[in-house]
Amino acid sequence: MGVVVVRFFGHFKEVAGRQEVTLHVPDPSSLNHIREMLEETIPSMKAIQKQVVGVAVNCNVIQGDVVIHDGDEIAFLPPFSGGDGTVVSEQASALGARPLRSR
Amino acid sequence: MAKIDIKQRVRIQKEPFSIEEEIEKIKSVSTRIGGIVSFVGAARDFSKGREVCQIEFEHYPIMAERALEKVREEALRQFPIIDVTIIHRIGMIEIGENIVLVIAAAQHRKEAFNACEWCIDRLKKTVPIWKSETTPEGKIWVEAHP
Repeated sequence: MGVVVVRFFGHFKEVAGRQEVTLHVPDPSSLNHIREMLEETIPSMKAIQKQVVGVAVNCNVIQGDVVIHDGDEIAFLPPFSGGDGTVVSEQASALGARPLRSR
Repeated sequence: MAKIDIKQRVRIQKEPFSIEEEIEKIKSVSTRIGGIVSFVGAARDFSKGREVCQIEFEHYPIMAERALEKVREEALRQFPIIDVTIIHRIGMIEIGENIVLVIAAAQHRKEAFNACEWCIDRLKKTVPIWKSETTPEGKIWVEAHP
C-alpha cells in the first residue's frame, strides 16, 4: 500500500470541506483509480470533476491517466482566476505537461 | 551588465511591492535599456455588478512560481527585450492596493509594450492562482476573468 495526498485549491477546497486528503492506495495505482477513491471518500468531488481544468502530480500538470506512486501529491485544479476555464491544454502546456505514462 | 537574479525578477509574495524600486532594479540590468513599460493590477471595489470589500489570492506553491518563471522565460525568447519583472501578491488585499506588477524593459518602447501585455495575459491564463472576493453577500470565487 502507498499513501498519496490530494490537495484542493480555490472553491474546490470549500466543496471538499478541507485543504487536502490523504488516501491509502495500492502502490502503484492509476490516476483514474485515485479519482474514484477520492469520489468515494468525498462524494461532493464528483459533481465538480467537469470544472477541473488540469491535474497536477507533484506540481507537474499531466494529461490523461498516469501511474501514481507512494508519496505522490495530486491536485485537481479549478480554473485559474484569470483564465476562462477553456484553455486546459494551454495551461497544461505552459505548466510543463507531460505525456501519458511518461513520468 | 549586472548578473540577473531570477528570484528578484519573478516573485509571489504577501508583501506590497515598490514600483519605483523594481524599475530601478531592472534599469540596473543594462545601460542599453531605453524603454520600460509597466502594468499594475490593483484591487477595485466593484466587480460584475457587485460591491467588493476585499480580495484574497491563493496560489499553488512551487507550481505557481515555476509557471511564473516560465512566463518570463517565454517572454525573453519571444520578444526582443532585455528583461522582465513579474510580481504577484497573495493573501488578503485591501481595495486600492496593488496586486500584480509586470515590468518589461527593452531598447525601444514598442517591444516593451508588446512584451508587457503578453506577460500579463499569459500570467492570467497559466499561473495557478485563485481569487476570491468578499462582497456584502459573502465570499465569491472568481474564475472567469479574461
